[in-house]
This record gives sequence, C-alpha cells and structure tokens, in this order.
Amino acid sequence: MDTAVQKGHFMWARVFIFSLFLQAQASIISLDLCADQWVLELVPPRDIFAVTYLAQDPDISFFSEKAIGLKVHKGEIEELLDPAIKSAVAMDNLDPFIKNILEKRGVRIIVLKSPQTLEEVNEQRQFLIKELGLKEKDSNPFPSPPLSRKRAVCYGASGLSPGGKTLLGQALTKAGFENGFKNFKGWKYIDWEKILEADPAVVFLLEGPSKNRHHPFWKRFMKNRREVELPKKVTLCACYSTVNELIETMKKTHHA
Amino acid sequence: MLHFEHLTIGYADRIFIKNFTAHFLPGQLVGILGPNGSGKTTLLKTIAKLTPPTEGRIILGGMPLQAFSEQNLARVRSYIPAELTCAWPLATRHVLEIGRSADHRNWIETLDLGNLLDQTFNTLSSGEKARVLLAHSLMRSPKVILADEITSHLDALYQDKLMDLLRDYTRTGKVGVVVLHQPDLAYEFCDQVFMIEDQKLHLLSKKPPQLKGQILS
Amino acid sequence: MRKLSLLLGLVLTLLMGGSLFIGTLPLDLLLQNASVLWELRFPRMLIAVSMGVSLGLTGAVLQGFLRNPLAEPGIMGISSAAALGAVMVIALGLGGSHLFAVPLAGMMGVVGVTFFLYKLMQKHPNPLTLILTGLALNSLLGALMTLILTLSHNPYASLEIIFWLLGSFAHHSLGQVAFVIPLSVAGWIILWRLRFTLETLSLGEEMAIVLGASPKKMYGFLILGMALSLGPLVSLVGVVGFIGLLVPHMLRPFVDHKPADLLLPSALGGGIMALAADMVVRLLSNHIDLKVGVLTSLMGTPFFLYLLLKQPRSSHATF
Repeated sequence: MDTAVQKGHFMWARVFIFSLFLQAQASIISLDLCADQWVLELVPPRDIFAVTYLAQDPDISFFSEKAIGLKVHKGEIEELLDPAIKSAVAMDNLDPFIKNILEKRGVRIIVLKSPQTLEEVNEQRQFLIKELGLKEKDSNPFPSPPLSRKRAVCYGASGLSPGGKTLLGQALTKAGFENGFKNFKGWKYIDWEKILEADPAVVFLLEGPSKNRHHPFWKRFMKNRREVELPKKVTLCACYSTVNELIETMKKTHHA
Repeated sequence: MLHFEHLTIGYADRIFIKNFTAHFLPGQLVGILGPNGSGKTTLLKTIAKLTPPTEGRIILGGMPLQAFSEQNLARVRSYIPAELTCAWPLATRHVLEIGRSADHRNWIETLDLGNLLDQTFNTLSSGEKARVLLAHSLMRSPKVILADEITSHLDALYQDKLMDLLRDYTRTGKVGVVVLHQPDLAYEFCDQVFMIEDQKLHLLSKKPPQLKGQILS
Repeated sequence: MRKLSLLLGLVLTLLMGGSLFIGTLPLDLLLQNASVLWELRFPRMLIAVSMGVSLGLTGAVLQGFLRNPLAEPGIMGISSAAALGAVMVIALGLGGSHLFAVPLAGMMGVVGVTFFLYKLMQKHPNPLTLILTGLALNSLLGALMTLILTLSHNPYASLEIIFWLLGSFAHHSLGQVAFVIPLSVAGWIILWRLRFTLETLSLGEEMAIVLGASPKKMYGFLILGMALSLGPLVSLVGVVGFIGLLVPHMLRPFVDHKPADLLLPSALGGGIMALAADMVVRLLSNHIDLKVGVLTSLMGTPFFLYLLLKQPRSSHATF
C-alpha cells in the first residue's frame, strides 16, 4: 500500500487521539491561506486545531506537506464553534461577522498584517511568536548578499507588477539583482514599453504561463533574456520560510 | 382587385366577422362603420397583412395576400393607423421621408402641410397628424389605401377635403378602405358602405363603380 | 449628417495618427526599437478604434431598433457570452496555452448564444422577447461567471479574470487583430444595411412592416450583425462599458434624431471616444493606473446625466 496514504491514516489517528486525550492542547486555528502559512511555520502540529483546506494544496501552500493530516475547515461558521478553539489567527481582511462571533465566544483573535516589506515579515513573525507565547526562533533571517550588476524584474501577466518598496522588489535585491522597477514604489500596472525601458536580463513571472509569451513582440524581447516562473506558493503569502524560498529561487537563476 | 374569400377575422377567443365574401373593383372607395369593439380596425389590419385571418383568404390583384413578401406588399398597399406616435422627436419633414417615398408631388401643398414641416411630429394635434399620415401614404402611390379613422379628429372642412381627396385618388384605379365614425361622411363619399354587426358585414349602400374618365357597367 | 461625419472622421484620423506617438517609451529608446510602433502601438490603436466603432454602431442600431435610448450593446447577452467563454478558459489555466485560446473560447460562447437568440427571435420576433431574453441570459451568464470565480482555486487566475473583465487594448498582436477585425467589419456591414428598417421602426413595429420591413429578417440580421460586431472584439479585449450608451445619445440631436442617419456619426464617435480614452490611459500611466473601461465610465456617467437632465421633456420620446 502507498506509504503516503498509510502515513495519512496514521496522522489522522494521531489527530483523533489528540482530540480525545489532549484536547486542551490543539487550540489554535488559522482562518485563511496566509494565516495557515504563519501557523504552520511557527506552531507545533499538536497545538493546531485546524487550518483551511487550501493549506493542503501544494500549488498554493508552501507548507502543504505539513498540513496533510491536520484537521481542515472551509471557513464555515459552524466549523468554527468548537469549544476547543482558544486562539484564531487571521490576516487583516478577516470577515467582521466571523470576528464578532468568535470574540463573543471568548476566542482570542490574532490579526496579522499582510507584510509589504522584508522588515514587516520580521515584525509580523516576532508579533505572532509573542502573541502565541512560542519559543523565540532565530531572528535577522535575511542576510544581504553581494550586489550583482544583473537587472531583473518581477512581472505579473495581468500587468500588475511590484516596484521598489515591495516584498518582491526587496527579494530581488536580496537575491543579488538590481530591481528594474525600483523607480516606482508599490505595485503598478506595467505595459511592455515600460519593460523595454527597464531592460532586465531576467524576468520573473508571477502568474503562471501567460498568453503573452506567444506574442511576437514578447518572443523577440525575451530572446536574449531569461524568463523564470515563480511558484505561486512562494509569492501568494509571505512568512519567513516562503520569502526565504523566494530569495533562494531567484538566486538559483544566477548559476543556471 | 381586392377579394375576400370566406374570410373570418378576429382572434382565437374573439371572432369579429364570420365567413364573408366580397369583391372590390379598382376605383372604389369602401367605408366601414360599426360600434366600438366590433372589429373595424382588425378588419383593416387583416387586409394590411398585419394580422392573419382566422379563416379564409384575401386576394390582392390576383395573388393571395400570404404570398406577398413584406417588401412587395409595401409597394402596393399603405395603411394609416388611427393613432401614431413617433419614437423619436422627428420633424414632420423627416417623418414624411420615412419609407423612401417615390412621389413627393404636391401632396404637401394639397394637404396644407407647409407650415407643419419643421415642427416636431409628436407635438402636432391629432387632426394635423392625420393629414401628415395621409400625405405620407399617398406619396407612396399605393394601389390599396387603408385608413383607420383619419377623419375623427378633423374639423368639418378638412373632413370633406380629405374624403374628397381619397375618393379622387381611388378614382385613378385604386381601392380605398376607410374606417369611419360618421355615417354621413360614409354615405356621401364612399361607393360601398358596410356596417359590422353581429359578426356580419352588412352592405348599407352601393353606388355603381366609377373610374375617372370612364363609366364601367 | 454629412458635415458631422466628415468632422468626426477627420478627428478620428488625426487621433489614429497621433496615438502612435503616445507611449511611455522615451524617444531615443523608441528609435532603437522601432518595432514598438508596429507591434505594440499600431495594433493597440486598431483594436481601440474598432472596439469603439463597434460599440458606437451597435449602440445606435440597438437604440433605434428597440426605440429606447437606454438600450446598450450589452443587453442582448452577447458580450456576456464572450466574457464567459474567455473567463472559463482563463480559470482552467489554459489562457496561456495559445495566443488565440481566450478569444476563440469567447467566440464559442458568442456562437452558442447567437444561435439561441436567432432561433428564439425567429419564433417570437418582438422587442419584449429580445429584452427579456437578454436580461435572463445576462443574469445566467453573470451567475456562471461568478461561479467560476468562486470555484477557481487559483487566486492569480481570479486576478487575471478580474483584470480581463475590465478590458484593455494593450498587448494584442497584429495576428489577433487581423483575425478579429474582418469579422467585425462583416458585422458592421450587416448593421449598416438595417438603416431603412431603423427609419421605418421609428413609427413603430407595425408601420415598419407596412413600409416593407420583415420582422423575422430584421431580427435575424440584427442578431447576426451584433454578434459579429461585438463577439470577436469582446472575446479579445474584454468588456468596455458605456461608449455604446453614451455616444449615440450624445450625437442624436446633431442628426435631427433620425435613427438611420445616426449610425455613421455614432460609429465614428465611438471610435474617437475609445481611442481618446486609451490615449489618456497611456498618457497618465506614469502617474496613475487606469483601465480604459473604468475611464470611459468615469468620464461618461456625469456627462450622460448632464445631457439627460438638460434635455427638454419632449425629446424623451415615448417613455
């Protein structure tokens, strides 16, 4: 029999036993995909009551392997009423209705901001560690490498692309690139004339295969440049591990 | 020229006239009288091929009405509804242009429309509209002219003038069928006068058929 | 009408030329990359103009046909069908499989809806059926689109769908343009031939028949013309709102409210508005991110309300 399935069964059994005997321990729930990432990164599995079903999707969840075997929920109100739940972790777009109900039931709600910079990733990490009373883990996790001359950009196929003061822009710098879009801040709609102007050696694509790559102009433009697709699981949500992985992915293109 | 064969008109749940047969020669102006709701308008619409007959058929110039395409029929018959509003605030001049009329002749003069041309059609009185619509109809020189109550809103002078005009026009070898409210007008100007009553078409009066310049037996 | 069309044609021609010189690329880089003109700006100009012409023309035809100044090219459900087809392909992650994947899927949707509308209108050729069917189709297709959005597990696909729905003239290849524009032109020709019908329809459907219009034929041609004019373009570009409602309404007084004479000026005016809006988007792109559909609605709505309130009551036709 498939070992993954056996492992799955074993994990389920473990969760079941925990829920019988150690109910008080599995008390933390995360309410959306990005909160899942934080919780899965920092909290030991035995303390996790449930994560969202999205956390098990390997395409979009960095910690999908860790999430398999854990209890999952779909964000339905009735799934969230279990008295075992003591703390809920969510991002700042949490539905006020759900927030209200959970608060009334005495659940502690920890709201995380979506980090827009590397500094904010660290801040949110420290914040969550403190809030959940976890053991301090190694800090200052993003060492800066030497700067190369190579210019690169991150480009969203729908046009929306990250500029200077964004997580992806900073990741480019940390990975040793010069960010071709550093002259604007935040996210911006980019048309191809702007990419041409930025003249990057590497284009990191944000949104899977795009019809753009069949366009004659794009084909010619990319002839002497590299096009690298960034996996969704490292660009959708940002916690320490995803950002680290993002930087590593970018770094690899130097050697290849 | 215009022939009704065992015609029954109306709707499935409401029959107006049952099984009547009639024949009209070129040069005849036919008046239709009848109480409200007796089916006068439906009769006209059936002749105009706007409503299908329940039974029987109409033959126009030797060809069944159903065999005419809309385009061909438009060349031979015209129809003036009792009431008409233009969907857009068009000037009367432009309303007269609708439908590519072949013959502008002097209908505008004859019907005294000169001073109405630049006014918005929808702001005209019912009587003025009737004159405009008659002109619009005549400009297309139809072989069969159908008019629904065009005299109802006119003063006595124009009533006579319009009926006179219609009669003169049909005398040139055309057939006119007009729905009227005033029996005196019908008797004075029409060659045949019918009355709709009890689902029947009663012939009230009949003059000998005439064509301009010649007498037919 | 002739003078007005000439004037609008002149403005449009000038804009078409001028739009080639509007973009974010600095001049020295442009000279090094002359292909930008030919491969990016030229098709972008063509697609903006033809979308505008289609919207202006279909808006004028539809308003004249239904005798309702509130009619808008989207009410028949053709644009929604195009959007649904396109959205489905994007959601399945096939949007990038081929340059023509999205537009072809959109056109499949259009063919389906057109066939349905055509069959239905041959049975019941009257405006109420058309409007109500369009309403039903629009809400059904809208619901299906929402369903696809909610079922899509891929947040980037959802983002791409939303962006696509906003409409954009950018980044369409010459090949795509060469494929889409002939179809639209065929649609324009069909609609252009409805002029006589539109004229007679202003006296009501009954008088239109009296004057020689065939209901089955006119609804057939209307649906076919609308589908060809809108379907392929919307499948490629996405939904651009408001031009089809605003432009005919704006120009109607200049042609003495004559529905047939409105077609050419409205088509040219639509082209001008779409292209001008796209040029504004490009000019402002260094400062603010706009989508052309958003801009047309933003500019158009207040102007439209102003026109509506300014108008004398008598010109509100029969409503």
